[in-house]
Amino acid sequence: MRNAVHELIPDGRRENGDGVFRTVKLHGKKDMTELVVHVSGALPRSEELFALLRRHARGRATWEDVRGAAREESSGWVRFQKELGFDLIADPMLLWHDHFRPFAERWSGVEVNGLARWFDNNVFYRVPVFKGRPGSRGGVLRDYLFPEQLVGCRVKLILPEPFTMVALSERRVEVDPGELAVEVARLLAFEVRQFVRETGVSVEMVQLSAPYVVSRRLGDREAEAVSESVRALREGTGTRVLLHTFFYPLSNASDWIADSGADVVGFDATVTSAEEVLSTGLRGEIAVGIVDSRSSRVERPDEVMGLLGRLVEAGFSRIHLTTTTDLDYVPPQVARAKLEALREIRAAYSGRRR
Amino acid sequence: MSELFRTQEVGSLSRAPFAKKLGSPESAEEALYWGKLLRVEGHEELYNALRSGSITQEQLIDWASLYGIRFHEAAGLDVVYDGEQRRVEMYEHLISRVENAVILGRVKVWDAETYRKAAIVGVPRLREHAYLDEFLFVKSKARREVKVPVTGPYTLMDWSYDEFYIQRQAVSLGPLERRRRAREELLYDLVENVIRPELRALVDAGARRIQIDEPALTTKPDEVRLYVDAFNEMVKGLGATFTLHVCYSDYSKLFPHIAEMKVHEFSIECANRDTLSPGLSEEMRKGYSVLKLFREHSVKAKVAPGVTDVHTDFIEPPELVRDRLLYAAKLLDDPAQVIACHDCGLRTRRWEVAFEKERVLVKGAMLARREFSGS
Repeated sequence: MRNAVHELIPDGRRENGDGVFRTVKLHGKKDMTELVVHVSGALPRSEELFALLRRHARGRATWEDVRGAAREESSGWVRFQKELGFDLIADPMLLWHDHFRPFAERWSGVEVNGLARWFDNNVFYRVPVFKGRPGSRGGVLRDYLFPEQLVGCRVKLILPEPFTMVALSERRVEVDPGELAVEVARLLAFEVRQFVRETGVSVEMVQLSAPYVVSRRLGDREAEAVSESVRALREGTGTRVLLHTFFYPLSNASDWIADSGADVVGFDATVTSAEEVLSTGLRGEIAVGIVDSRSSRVERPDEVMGLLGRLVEAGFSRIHLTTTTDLDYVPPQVARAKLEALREIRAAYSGRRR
Repeated sequence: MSELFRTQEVGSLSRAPFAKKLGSPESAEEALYWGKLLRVEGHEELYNALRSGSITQEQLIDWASLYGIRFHEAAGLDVVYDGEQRRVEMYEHLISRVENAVILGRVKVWDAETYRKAAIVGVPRLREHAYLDEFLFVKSKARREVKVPVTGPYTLMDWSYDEFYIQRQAVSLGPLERRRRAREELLYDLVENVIRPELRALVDAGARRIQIDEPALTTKPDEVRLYVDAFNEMVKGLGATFTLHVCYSDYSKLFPHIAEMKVHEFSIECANRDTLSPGLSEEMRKGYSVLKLFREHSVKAKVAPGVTDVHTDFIEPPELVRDRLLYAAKLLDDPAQVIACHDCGLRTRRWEVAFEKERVLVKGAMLARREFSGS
């Protein structure tokens, strides 16, 4: 039986019929399951780019020098994703020091402060400080990404989940955190709209990186703020939203995640079992952080077949195969191998199901 | 040695200025300037060697180490080392000497700051000593008591990838339990095969004060209990005074477990969180509130709260250092439990700034002592 229904067309691209994704389709127990592949965060900088950034911080290189070098590296990563046949292409975000920095540096009413640990990692971010209600004239994504490299691609934009950003910030303004998160969501939506309008990039999906929402059990009001932010992004951009969780088990959000309003929810398979996913009530579409961004060991397809099989059997119609989070926890050569592993996992699964 | 408010360094200094500027005309002048100031014996020899370019890398590092020792001594510290002049970076210095640890490349810590990260690909074992020769050199030159800093096993584990131990765990355990067991096994193997051999060699060579550096310790708070047990195993039967240095952390995560730790001193960072105004009020000394936890949990070990901030060029007035020490003594209810030191190593400061910070540390401790001697 042939389960993969894609056809190779003359220019080498694959078409799946629904016009949304170039996918591999598989017959699950109940329905046909599509596998789509993309990366879920920043990709690593080279040693040379790190050195140039340090020189820039000391005033010995210009920002244009940095942008020039980053543009070249970025181009290599975009090309690599295309070569691997990824369904959505993401900018490698080489100019982003952390998830919040471009917005914290550029939005009015927000500044950056000292360093804080990024969850349970030996990685630190600069704490955004909300000194007033945030505002923006736009242009942040244009300036911190390389849109010219994304034109003609089906693109996933990766943004901070608004409640995560607010929760990890310092607030010197009298405002409810949930309310502030929704304001952040609206500003992000504005940035996306302006980015699309100015650059002509075709954004098919917006990913909200949301580690905070699973780092502990949120209260009802907090969960509602997450959902409202998702809705604001969805309505404000007219784009599908992936709420991507990582570092902590999805079960921490089991009582609300299915009602978050996201088109897709992502989870970190290094800390979440298939049973935990199924117990959340999520169905339809799911994103699996199946390649561990924080480990140098490259996953073999046979190691993840069991998990994929369980999700297919459970009837998910579309499974996104992705990294647990940013891949800049590993050096570039490991990141490349990890991206190749995503392709291999898809290939192995589709081959096995035939 | 001072009985109250003993003064000690924490570890690193930036590279000796003459070594940093090697190859430039200023290099020899730096050697001369600092040699005179620190009263380094034979510094003219270094000056001439730098001027003529007739110095080997090995000689240069020995000189840097000697200058580091004299730096602390000239400032008046009671306990000294060499400013880690032989080390590239605390993690890499040790991990590069561990069998089955393979350095894969540079990864981000924040912004453009990075470190070279290794993968554990088998049972780790110490291939060659990382600190022994360095300690022997310092011991042969130092005129004050010596404390040798050693990177701890938890930080080695947490800052490395694990490609080996996780694979030994059954998939049926589930992802979290697999990881927990893998990390426990790795930590104990690092203790047994890497750190204990290093500590034993140091103790056998005469080291009587050893500082275990664990900046990663609170990264995963649910592993503090595991670490306390591993630490106690690590120091078992070793005749030395052990200091545990943990910096830039949420110290509340250490409690209650660290009360059971067989450690003699805790070195923590506080000045970075404090105000710059002298005084003994809780408001002025908010950076030291964590010391209440030490008292609440009846921690018997001495505490070395940082009284100078190593991430700023601001030179703390001696009166501010004094008040921080007095406040710490008040919270712990025992001045004899307080040691005077910096928040962390002074690696990020220029030598000029670092030297001034050392001097105010010594002056501030002296002022604090006066409060108890009545003079």
